[in-house]
Amino acid sequence: MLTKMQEYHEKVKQFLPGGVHYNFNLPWEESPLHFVKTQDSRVFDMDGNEYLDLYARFGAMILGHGNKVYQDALKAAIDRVLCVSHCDFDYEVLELIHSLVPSAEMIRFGLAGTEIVQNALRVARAYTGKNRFVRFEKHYHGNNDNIMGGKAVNADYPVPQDFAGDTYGTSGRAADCMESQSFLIPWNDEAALEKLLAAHGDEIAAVITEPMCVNGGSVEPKPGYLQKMRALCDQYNVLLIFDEIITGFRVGLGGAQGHYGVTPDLTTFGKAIAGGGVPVSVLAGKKEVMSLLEAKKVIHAGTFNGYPLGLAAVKATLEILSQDNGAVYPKMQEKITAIQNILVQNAAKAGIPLIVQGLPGCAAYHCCEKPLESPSEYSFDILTKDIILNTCMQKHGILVSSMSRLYSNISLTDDDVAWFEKHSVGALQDAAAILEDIC
Amino acid sequence: MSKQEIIDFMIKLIAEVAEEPIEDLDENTSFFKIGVSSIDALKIMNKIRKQLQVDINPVAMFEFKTIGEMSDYLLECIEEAE
Repeated sequence: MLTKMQEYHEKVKQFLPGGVHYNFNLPWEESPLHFVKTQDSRVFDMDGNEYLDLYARFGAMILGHGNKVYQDALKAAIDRVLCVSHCDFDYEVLELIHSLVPSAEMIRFGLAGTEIVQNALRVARAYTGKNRFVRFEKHYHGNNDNIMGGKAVNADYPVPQDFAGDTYGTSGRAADCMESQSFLIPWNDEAALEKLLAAHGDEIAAVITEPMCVNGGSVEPKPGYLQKMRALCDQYNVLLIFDEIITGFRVGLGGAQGHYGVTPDLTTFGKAIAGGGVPVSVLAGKKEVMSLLEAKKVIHAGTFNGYPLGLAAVKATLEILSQDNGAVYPKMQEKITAIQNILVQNAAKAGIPLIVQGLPGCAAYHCCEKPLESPSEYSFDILTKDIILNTCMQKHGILVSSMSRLYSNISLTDDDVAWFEKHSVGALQDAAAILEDIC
Repeated sequence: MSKQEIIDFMIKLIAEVAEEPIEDLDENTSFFKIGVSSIDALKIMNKIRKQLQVDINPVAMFEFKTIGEMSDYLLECIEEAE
């Protein structure tokens, strides 16, 4: 017998392909939860189940659900200046971002991460006069044809190609767009980058990277790796782009670039920068590079770029996060670290090998003995176990983001930590039984 | 092992894991259409690997989405191994 939510999902599926708002190439049916109520770190579905929300809308939700200051700011913008292209708090938002982010000498706004990454690449091509960009295995920079999935088969000329079984592979990809525009190499591998730039630096406009590879399992850069990347880009007249759509304002006010002390030429932001309620993406960068937009040599268009509701959300979010010099961050990190430690302890009790890696705020667990040193080590076997535990946690009232990320928010409390401690026990026991059955 | 034997094995396996009536399944059955969950899919992959003793590519279900397509792929794997 179907529950109320399952019945509703069947109705939705009649008109919404797969019953979901997004999909990748995964061979199973998605069963999304439909929510009716949210508050702080908790969400409630149509069947009356309560969850601790560490999914946080793919990491966008950083303030907690129902933050009054944030919601009042959005309501005020709706009441006063909803449908105009420029409004009377544009400067305050720009100045805030500039003051917090090392690379943000100038700033433009968009809506989606996918689109702003493409704008960053366009600017980089225009600035350098070169066509190709370099990206890294298991990193994710949006769902545009030229930058998603693929595998390089020739190490001497590592252009990505489609391959069977690629989670990020898609039918309908424009012919040759990956091969003609990009190179794809392993991350955390200085030698691979140095070799590629030495051989093909005259073709390469940009290197784009997640500064911490959240999409590849929340793998941190090896000490000195980002510094070396910065130096190599300078040496070969290549722009360095940090994709901070996940890490921005989640690992700290200055993003991952502030944490690791490496300043890129261009940075993309999204998700948490607008608090999670509305979409805003940001392209920030050096004045010398961004001036191509001022000179109108590079087009950056969009009906809703810089829309007041979005900028009101950015303003409120950054004001909340930066209050008292970012005092919310240590508190948030303390709570999520406590949750991470409980997960490791309870997994050991359940007999599941498990580690947590990555900066608190966008760390991930993996069901294996030791942390991944490279995203390329994130094997299907580990992914399988991670997904099983993710599914079991959902059944026990804990939502974890894909595939195993533990996204924090500033409203986390000791009650939430206690909820996790209590509910993770059953989830881990269930996962242990399934793993014993299938592995 | 013949293709029909593999199809019969797959139907029995899917019926057991996805709790589907065996008479509703044939080689045209799509894993997606019968509502195979992520855990079901992973169980199916691992049981195939164990019970048929084939070292199949773990991402096969991303590519071969029906019982018939998967059976063709498994037959290839078994023949290669012999």
